Amino acid sequence: MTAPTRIMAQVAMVMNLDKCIGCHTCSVTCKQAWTNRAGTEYVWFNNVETKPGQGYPRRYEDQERWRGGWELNRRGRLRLKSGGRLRKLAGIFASPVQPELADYYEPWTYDYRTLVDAPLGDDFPVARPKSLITGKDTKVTWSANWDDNLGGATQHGHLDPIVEKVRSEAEDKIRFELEKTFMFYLPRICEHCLNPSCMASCPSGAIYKRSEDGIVLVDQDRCRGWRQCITGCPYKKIYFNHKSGKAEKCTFCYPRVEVGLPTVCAETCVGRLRYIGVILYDADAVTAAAATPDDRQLHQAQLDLMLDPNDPQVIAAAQRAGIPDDWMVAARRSPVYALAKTYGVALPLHPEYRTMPMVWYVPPLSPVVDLLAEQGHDAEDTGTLFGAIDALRIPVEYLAELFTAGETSTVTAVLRKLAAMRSYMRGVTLGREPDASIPQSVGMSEEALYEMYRLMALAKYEDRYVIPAAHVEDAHRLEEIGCSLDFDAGPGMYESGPFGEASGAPTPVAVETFTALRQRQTADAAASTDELRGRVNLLNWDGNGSPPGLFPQRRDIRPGRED
Amino acid sequence: MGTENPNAPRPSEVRWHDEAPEGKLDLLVSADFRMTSTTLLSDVVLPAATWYEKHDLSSTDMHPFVHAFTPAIDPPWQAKTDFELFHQLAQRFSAMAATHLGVRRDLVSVPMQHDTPGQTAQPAGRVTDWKGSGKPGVPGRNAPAFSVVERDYTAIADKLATIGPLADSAGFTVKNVTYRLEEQVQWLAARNGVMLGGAGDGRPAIDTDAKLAEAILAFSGTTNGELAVQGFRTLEKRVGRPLADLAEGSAEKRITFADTQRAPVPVITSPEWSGSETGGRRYAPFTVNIERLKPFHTLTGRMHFYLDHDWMSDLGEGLPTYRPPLDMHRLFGEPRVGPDGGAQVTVRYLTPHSKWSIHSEYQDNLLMLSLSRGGPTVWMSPADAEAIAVSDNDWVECVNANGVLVARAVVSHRMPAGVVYVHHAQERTIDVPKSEATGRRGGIHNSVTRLLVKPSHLIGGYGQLSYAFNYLGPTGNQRDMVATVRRRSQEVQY
Repeated sequence: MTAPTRIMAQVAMVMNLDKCIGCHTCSVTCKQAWTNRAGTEYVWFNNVETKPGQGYPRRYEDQERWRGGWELNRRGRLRLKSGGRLRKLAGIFASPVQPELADYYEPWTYDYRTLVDAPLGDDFPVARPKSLITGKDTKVTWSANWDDNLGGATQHGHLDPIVEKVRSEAEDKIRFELEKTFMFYLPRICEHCLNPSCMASCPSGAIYKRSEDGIVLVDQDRCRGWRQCITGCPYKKIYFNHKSGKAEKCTFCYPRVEVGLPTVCAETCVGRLRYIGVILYDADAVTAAAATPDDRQLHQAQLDLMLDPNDPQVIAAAQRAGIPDDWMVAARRSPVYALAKTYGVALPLHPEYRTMPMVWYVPPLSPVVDLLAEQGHDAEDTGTLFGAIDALRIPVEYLAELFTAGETSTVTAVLRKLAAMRSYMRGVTLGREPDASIPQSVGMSEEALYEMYRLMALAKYEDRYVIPAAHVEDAHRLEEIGCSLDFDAGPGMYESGPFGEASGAPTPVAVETFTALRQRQTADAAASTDELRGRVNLLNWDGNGSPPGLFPQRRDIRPGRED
Repeated sequence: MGTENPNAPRPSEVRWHDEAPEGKLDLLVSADFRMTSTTLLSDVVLPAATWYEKHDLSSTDMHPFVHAFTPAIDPPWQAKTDFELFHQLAQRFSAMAATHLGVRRDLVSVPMQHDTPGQTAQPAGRVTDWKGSGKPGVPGRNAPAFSVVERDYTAIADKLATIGPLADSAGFTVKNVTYRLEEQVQWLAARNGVMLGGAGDGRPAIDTDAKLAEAILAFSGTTNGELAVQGFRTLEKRVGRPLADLAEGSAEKRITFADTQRAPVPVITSPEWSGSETGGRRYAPFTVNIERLKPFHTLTGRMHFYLDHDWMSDLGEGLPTYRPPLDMHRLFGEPRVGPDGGAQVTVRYLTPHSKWSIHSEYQDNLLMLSLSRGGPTVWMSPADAEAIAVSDNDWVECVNANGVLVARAVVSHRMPAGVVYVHHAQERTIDVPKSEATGRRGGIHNSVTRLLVKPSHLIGGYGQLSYAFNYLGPTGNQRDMVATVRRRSQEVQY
């Protein structure tokens, strides 16, 4: 290979979907850490979708409608699907194509206070739903996860863009019938792409990809709220804070990652399905890779971008690029590199969006196993499993639309490896002579299959999260480290507004969240409106009346309604 | 059954009330950290601390660890830990008892218990009823055992805060193995200190939650290797099989509360359970019975299916047998299962555990509600929904003779026709409107269910069918009911 010209390190994630039980612990802990603030009530940096299902926001995968990601122009060059720079500038004041609140969901709360305050009566009081947007009574008709566990699939299932696609192309139709049920969960965060279309969409240059670890962030000072990034992101993982008027997104928990800790979603994952590690890539090769003509070759192009951390040329280039040695050690131990490249079982989500996403997924074998088990077959037997993977076309085609731009052979190969691992290891566990023909049939050695099993089934905390800490000598460049204690009005002298970045001087997020949480836990009353500078924290609001500050003041209408 | 079916036979030995008597509780006090269906009915609600605000222990046979709860913050406002609530109540109560209750002696009846002579008191499962038969009632044979208990109400708080002297003289008995605790009591006294004055004078202190946790760990073989070995030695003598080696490697291991606070600690194999953690194994029940031939606690000491109890024979259930679900139509006049061709469909009403709550806890959390349907739901099959013109998210009512549930429908092909799921303990505090059927607040999942007890559930004092706390009770047949689902007016009233 030719020597990489601009080598960079990227912190990336793998999620093993067979282990996801859809408990949403990741979503809840993420929300508590990052978006439990006014203006972000509807925002889930991390969410978990049931597939098949429409996802959150609804039908975000329908790029014909939402115009996210990149496409190739007639000359084969990359172009934002939402239009080039000129078109963007021309239309900058027009409302961009982006999901409305109804496409996410209208956040609500409950009249919890009634449970405490209701006068003595002869029937139970009840907390009825109240819209967090209008403050009025509401009926809950959609949520951040409405179609959980295929709820309502009979009525809404066909609206899943992948179901639509598979139905239009495959001989077998996806049917929403009891006997043909298959489902799995898909946890999603920002992809921290190598070729981020959000960043390219921003007219203010407010979105940046950190050179040291590839985390994509929004500079809250530079963001002007054009919202082009929301259109630009095909995963719809940038959100508009309607209080601050700025864009916000998953931060890959950079304050934690900088000190070697996994993200909150990974740390709290009950199924231990997340892996975090470093990969190395040549930044100068990204554009060409993303412009690979055939959608179905994009997965391979992404793999080709990943540099071998054991290659002397790569090591030399990394040294020249100033990548610290401990990052190189981490890159060699990286579970992400192992699962995506060495074993080839982790796949990128929607590579056809051409953003080179950096959150990878091990596709689930469980839809196949479940169907087999229900039919009374031995779901651990290689022959049965291989046969089923070939025969059960629907789950495979669905997975291919998610992870390989429709290339079923790649998905089949991964599922066969997973099946081989199950089958081979069952033999070992039962004390039988290990059957070398099983790894052979998927092109692996017994040792490699065993190592893959160790990484996928046994890996402990330190094997799942191989995260080199940021270097103290870089502290001045980093958001959190080093400076977090010595800025104006530091911790304990909390003077910044409750909405953090949006309200005054930038406050390191970790400090902001810590102080806000402590304030809330130790306060003896609900957050007062004084403290909120006349604004209302909707998440704390109990739905009673409309407190002053809920709506912008109008001269002729007195704010607040007397109950 | 008698009330609903006038033709059902009436009992002859108790007075029959055509109208069931109604009464009112004098006082209901509850401690909770949420407003629940119970606290809403309470006269006094004591604000309780949550798991993150107190010291506690957690363990289960689902995994081989014991771990600590350690407060992340102090209980906010006036909230108190359960431990503190009980102690403060006891202290006030004991002070008042000086002039009100004093010392009393109560006659207490105790069922013939498992692992006691009571379990063989009725040989061959023949129940000799003393009532009306002219035969004598003998406590512990054909009547409960009785004993007189002295209750010093003025000493309740003192006793609650100390390990009593019976620990020294009688030890603790679990599954018929008595653990001698003299040394452990001394160890605990040195560790926790002793209380001075009052009824617990000089006894080891358990006056804080952390000290009580320490006592639990000190007195269990699973966390105190010395006791595990001691228990196995006792057991070896009884069953004649070598067992102590299961715990000998841990004889000197003692897990303290501080250990569990540092990290979850694997437990020691102990006769208190039937699994083996020896050598890092994971717990599975009855491992010691199968691999070490320790007899099962049954009539034969084996895995035991045939029950020769008279009542089982009378019911034709001496061997495990399939019993179809009760015909609720014939017995209780409920509609027949299936659609009626009109506005309602009668279904099997199942109440499985919920994905997002532990009983009623967590189910009212705003974040989790925002990640689901935001209130109580009924999972229905497309066929049943279609039969009564119900669309996804429509309001429906589930009705039977027991009560009414009002909830929104989740229509999914994951449900087979003829069955609905109403997940366990979705409380009526969140988004439950008034019912069309009753005009009152709709109920919870259990408003539509009831436990049906049959004579075999009442067998006691016979081998493995003897009572033991948390081990023997009626079956969970209330989890499979029949109810009628109707689409209701979509304009709900709260």
